[in-house]
Amino acid sequence: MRSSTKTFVASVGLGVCALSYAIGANSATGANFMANGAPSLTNTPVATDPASAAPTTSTDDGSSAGAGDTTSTGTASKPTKKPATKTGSAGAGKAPSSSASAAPVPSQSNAPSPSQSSAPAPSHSTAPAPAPSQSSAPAPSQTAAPANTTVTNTGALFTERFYGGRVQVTVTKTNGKVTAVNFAVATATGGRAIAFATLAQWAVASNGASVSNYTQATYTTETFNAALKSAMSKF
Amino acid sequence: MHFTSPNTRVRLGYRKILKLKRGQDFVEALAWLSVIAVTAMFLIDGNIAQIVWSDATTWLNALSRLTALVATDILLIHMLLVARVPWIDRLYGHDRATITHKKLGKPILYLVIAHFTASLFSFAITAKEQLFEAFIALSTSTTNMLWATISLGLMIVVVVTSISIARRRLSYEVWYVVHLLSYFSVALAVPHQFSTGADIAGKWPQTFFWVTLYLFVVCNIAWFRFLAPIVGSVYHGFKVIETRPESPDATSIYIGGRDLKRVGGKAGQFYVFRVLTRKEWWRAHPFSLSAAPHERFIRFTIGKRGDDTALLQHIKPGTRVILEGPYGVFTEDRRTREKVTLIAAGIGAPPIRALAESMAARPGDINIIYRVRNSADAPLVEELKELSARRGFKLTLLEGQRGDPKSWMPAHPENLPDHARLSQIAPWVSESDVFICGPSSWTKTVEKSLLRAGTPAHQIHAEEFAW
Repeated sequence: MRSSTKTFVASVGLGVCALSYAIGANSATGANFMANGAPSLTNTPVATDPASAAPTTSTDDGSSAGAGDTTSTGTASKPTKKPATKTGSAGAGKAPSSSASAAPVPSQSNAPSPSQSSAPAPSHSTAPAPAPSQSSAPAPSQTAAPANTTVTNTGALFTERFYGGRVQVTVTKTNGKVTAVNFAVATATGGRAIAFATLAQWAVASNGASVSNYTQATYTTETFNAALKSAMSKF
Repeated sequence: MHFTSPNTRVRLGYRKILKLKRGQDFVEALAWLSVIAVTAMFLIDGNIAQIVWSDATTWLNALSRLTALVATDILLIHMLLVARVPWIDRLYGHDRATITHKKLGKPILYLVIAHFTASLFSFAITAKEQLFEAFIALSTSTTNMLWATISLGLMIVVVVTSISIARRRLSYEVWYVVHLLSYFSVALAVPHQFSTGADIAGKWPQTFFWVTLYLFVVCNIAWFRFLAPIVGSVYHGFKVIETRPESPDATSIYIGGRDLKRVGGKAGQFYVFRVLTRKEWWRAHPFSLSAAPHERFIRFTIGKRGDDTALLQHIKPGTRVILEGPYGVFTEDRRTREKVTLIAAGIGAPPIRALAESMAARPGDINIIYRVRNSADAPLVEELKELSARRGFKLTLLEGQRGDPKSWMPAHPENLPDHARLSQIAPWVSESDVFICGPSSWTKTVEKSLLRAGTPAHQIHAEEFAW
């Protein structure tokens, strides 16, 4: 390369890098938790005590304490299946939502309310669309059920492999459709807790099916999916 | 011997060198800008600006991702350099592209190892695990990481077998097969970049950039490296029509086929040659044209160098071959002056012979210097003599053992230095374009004495067989 070209490329490179650095420093963008500023970098337990968060009257927390001790999602012992408790009111599912509301992001709603459930998260193109075939059909066990039947189930407690986060979810189904995904336990390290709110939204949007990867929180997503599956298997 | 008529016109002067340099600068600037773009996209995401430096995992993570991005970008450039892409070949020649390819190999591996190590440590620290357990957990997790780990292993093998010490001990076959693994290595690493790669997954500008870059490189490799030679060889139906011994250790192979005018090679260029027999089809041989392109045949002259080139001496007429090319910038296109000096040694004679046949020149314009051990076994020496006699060129045969080990000429009774003797043989060597073809260490010494004799560097043209 001739020296004039070298100078040109070097100065353009330096300029572009300096500019990008400035842009990066001034903006908090995207679903990348690294870019969300200092609060997300500290260890932020969302709910540290599984004992206080889990026991809601309408949920099945049978073997959650035992499952919580396993370190691998793959080998977590499946909790014994208990019959789901049926409650007639729509409000019952909101009970554990208080535990998730401690998530450190004020800008995003942490506990998706039933009203949000029909709309998929708009900012994430990767979120799967709600399965239309299941949305209108009533739950199989509710053959002769009246309208507004709400069923709530809590899955086992799962521990993330690498970062030591813990996830246990409570799924609320109204008329056979997932209307809320709340956290009985949701702890994460290194700011990954920011993923929980979005993951819950995606899970509602996908009607309880596994959600796609939340960038920079791959193992949190993995653990969440395991916890979600565990809860869904109880319906 | 039948000779084709030489070129009748040639563009001389320094302007085309300027144009060439402009083209080279453009391509090099693009390559650097791609590295800058990758770094800039990383910085725009705030990956460096918002690092908490006291938190080791954060900056290990940033380090791991930046090294991965830069390594991938350079790796794609690295692959493009040996894809035998015409627009690279025309600007740099196959030898310079290959030399750059070799230089980039190790830095890429270092970057990838830095990426791997940083990820591993950041996992181990956050998961509070031992390094080995973290490694097992990291590489066996579901997100395409096992493939990426295998890819790293392959990459290490490829680079280790290519460093010069290992290269000398390994046979060409082993090296070649191992080097083919590098395609698998790259392919295995791709999934984890798009599924787990935090800087690509779910971000459209980055996804667009990387998909475009990958597609560009893959298409170039697929077409120019694999498909174009096959399509061309099937169309032309290249076949060996005759072999003719030229000297005790050199043979000419004549290749015939359909519509040879459209093959489009120039004197001084080379083809990569594959013989389609069951044992030999996979092995590529770079051979220079030993006669200017002809409408009825393409001729190569091959020396016996101990290895499988000995086998090629007995190739049967009618054997099908694949020709890839033509490649190389060792042609009259690079000529800037009226006077030309052609310098050859041993089996470097074929391209010099082809250049002497086709270059536009008046009698006395071209000075040919041919270094041989003895003129009896020198390939193509009779043809060069006949050509020089017909076209009025001066041919000097330098015969005999060399005296000084650092000299490229035979021993001289008065121990005159090479550049002084060169000026005696070719008085206007400093005003001529010099084309050198021979073994690479010999070529280097010739270049040195040319510079001492006053020939400007841009008038010296040499092409190495860099493989």
